[in-house]
Amino acid sequence: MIDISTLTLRSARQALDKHEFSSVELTMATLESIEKQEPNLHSFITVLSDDAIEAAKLADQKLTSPAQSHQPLLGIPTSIKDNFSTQGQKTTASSNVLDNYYPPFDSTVVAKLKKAGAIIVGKNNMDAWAHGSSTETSDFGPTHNPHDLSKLPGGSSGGSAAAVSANQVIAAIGSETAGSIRQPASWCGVIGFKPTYGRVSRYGVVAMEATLDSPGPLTDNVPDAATLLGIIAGHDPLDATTPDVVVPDYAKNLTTEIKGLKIGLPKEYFMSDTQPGINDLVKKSALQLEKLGATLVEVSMLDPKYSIADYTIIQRSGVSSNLSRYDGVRYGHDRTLLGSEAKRRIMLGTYALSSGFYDAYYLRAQQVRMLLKRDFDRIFTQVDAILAPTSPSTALPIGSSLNHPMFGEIADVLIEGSSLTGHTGVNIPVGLIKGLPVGTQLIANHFCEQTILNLAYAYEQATNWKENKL
Amino acid sequence: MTSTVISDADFAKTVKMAKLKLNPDEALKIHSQLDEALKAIEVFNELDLSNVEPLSHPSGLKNVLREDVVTPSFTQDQALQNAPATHKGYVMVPGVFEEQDS
Repeated sequence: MIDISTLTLRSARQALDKHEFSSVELTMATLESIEKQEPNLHSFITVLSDDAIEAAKLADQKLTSPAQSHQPLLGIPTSIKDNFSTQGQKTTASSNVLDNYYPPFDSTVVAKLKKAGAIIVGKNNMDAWAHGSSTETSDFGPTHNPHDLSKLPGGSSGGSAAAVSANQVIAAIGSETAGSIRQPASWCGVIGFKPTYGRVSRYGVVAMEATLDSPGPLTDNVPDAATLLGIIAGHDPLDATTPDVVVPDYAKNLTTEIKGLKIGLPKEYFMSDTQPGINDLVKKSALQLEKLGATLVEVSMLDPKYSIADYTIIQRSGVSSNLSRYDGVRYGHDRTLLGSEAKRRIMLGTYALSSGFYDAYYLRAQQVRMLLKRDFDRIFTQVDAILAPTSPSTALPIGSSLNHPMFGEIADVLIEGSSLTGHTGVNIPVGLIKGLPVGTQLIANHFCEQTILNLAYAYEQATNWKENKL
Repeated sequence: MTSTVISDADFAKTVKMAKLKLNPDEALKIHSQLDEALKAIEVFNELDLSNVEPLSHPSGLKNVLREDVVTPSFTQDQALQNAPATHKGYVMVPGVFEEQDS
C-alpha cells in the first residue's frame, strides 16, 4: 500500500519513472485516503474517481514512453479548489447558485496542470464564492481541521489546505484574494504560496475581486510549492493582467544559501492582542533564519488596521460587481440561492460604489491603497523580505465565523496589506500551540517569489517545526 | 433604533440596485451589519489623503491590447449547454419589461 504522507511531487514522479508503482496504484491510494477521511474532514465537494482512474491509465501508458518523461507531474494526483473551472466537471465555488454548473472549458491553471501530466482527483471545499476565512460559509457544509476536527481549517481555500495536511493528496491548488491561501495553510500546518498578483492567470477562476485574486499552491514542503508555481505561472493571453515576465525555474533555483538577505520585522505586525505564544514562535523562526545567514532588522509600517478597512471596501465592491453576472439565465441558478454572506458583501459593495457614496468610500479606499503601496515600496528599498505572523490566532472552533460580518477581515489582518499591494507571500509552519499549527509569513517584492521560496526552503531544511511546541 | 450610517431609504435603494430579495428579518440584520462595517472605515479619518492619487490596480499595466482577430471559441452547443432554457439555438431570458417594482 502506498503511503501518501511519505511522498512529495518529486519523489512520486521518480517512483513512477522507476515503475515502483503505477499511476493507477497511486491514484487508487489517493482516492482511498480521500474516501477514508472525508466523513471527518469534508475537504472535497466533488471526488472525480472515474475520471481520475481513466487519466491514470493514460498516464501509465505514457510513463512507458521516454518521450513523455519531461512532464513534471505525469501521473500524479492533485486536487483543485472548486472555484477553478474544470471542463465537464462540476464547478460550484461552494455555492448552491452553481450546483448544476459544468464549465465547457478549463481554467488556465487547470489546463497547465493537465499539460504537465497532473491527474485531477477532486474539487476542494471552500467558503462560498471564496467569501470568508473559515470554509464554513460553504453551502455544502464546513471542512474540519485535520489537527482537531472541532476546529476550522481557515479559508477560503480550507478544503485544499486540509486535504494536503491530512495527506488526502500530495498537493493542491487554492486561490487567494487576501489570506485565502496563507491563512488556511497557517491553521492546517502546510506551505501556502500566494504569488505576485498577475504571476498566475485568473482565467476561468470564479472571480471575487479582479485586482486581488491570485491562484497558488498548497503543499507539504517548499520544493513542491516551487514546482507547482513554476507550472502554473506565466503570461496568459486570456488574462490581460498577467505581464510577460520570465518565469524562473523556481524548483531548480531553490537554495538554502540565504546569506546577505535582509529580513524586516514590522513591529506593528507583532500585535499585542495576538494569541499568546504566536509572536514568540514567529520570532523564533526569524532567529532561525538569522542563524542560517539572513540579517534581521526591525521596521515600522502602516498599522494593519488600515488594511482591514481598506480591504473591506475594495473587496466588497469587487464582489458586488463580479456577482452581478449570476442571474441564472445562461448557467447556474438565480440570485435567490445566494447565501447570507454573499448578500451582505454585495450590499456593502453596491452601496460603496453607488452614486453619492463612491467618493466617501471607494475612492478613499483606493487612496489608502496607494498609501499602502508606498509603504511597501519604501520597505522593499530597505529589506528583501518581510517576516510576520500569518494569523493572529491558531485555528478557531467550528462556528466562530457565524454572525461575525468582519470575521475574515480580522483573521486576515496581517495579510490584507500585502494583498492590496499585489505582493507575493508564503506561509510556513513554525510550531504548535496546544497541538494547533502556527505559521510565519514571508512577503517579498513583486515577482521576487524566489527570495521567499529560498528563505522558506532554508528554514524547512534546518528545522523540524513540529518540535516547536507550546 | 439608534442612528444608522445608512438611511432606510438608501438601504432600500441599494437592495434594488443589487437585485436582491431580502426578507424583513434579513434586511434588518444586514442593515445593522453594514452600519457596523462602515463605522470601521472611520479609521480612514486618521490618514492624510490630500494629494494622494487613487490606486486602482497593483500591477501598473496599462492598455493591454491584442490583435483583433477571431480565435477559437465555444460551439453553439457548448455555449448553450448550461442554459436552463433555450429556444432554437438561443438562450431564453425572463421578460425584462414584465418586472414589477416592489
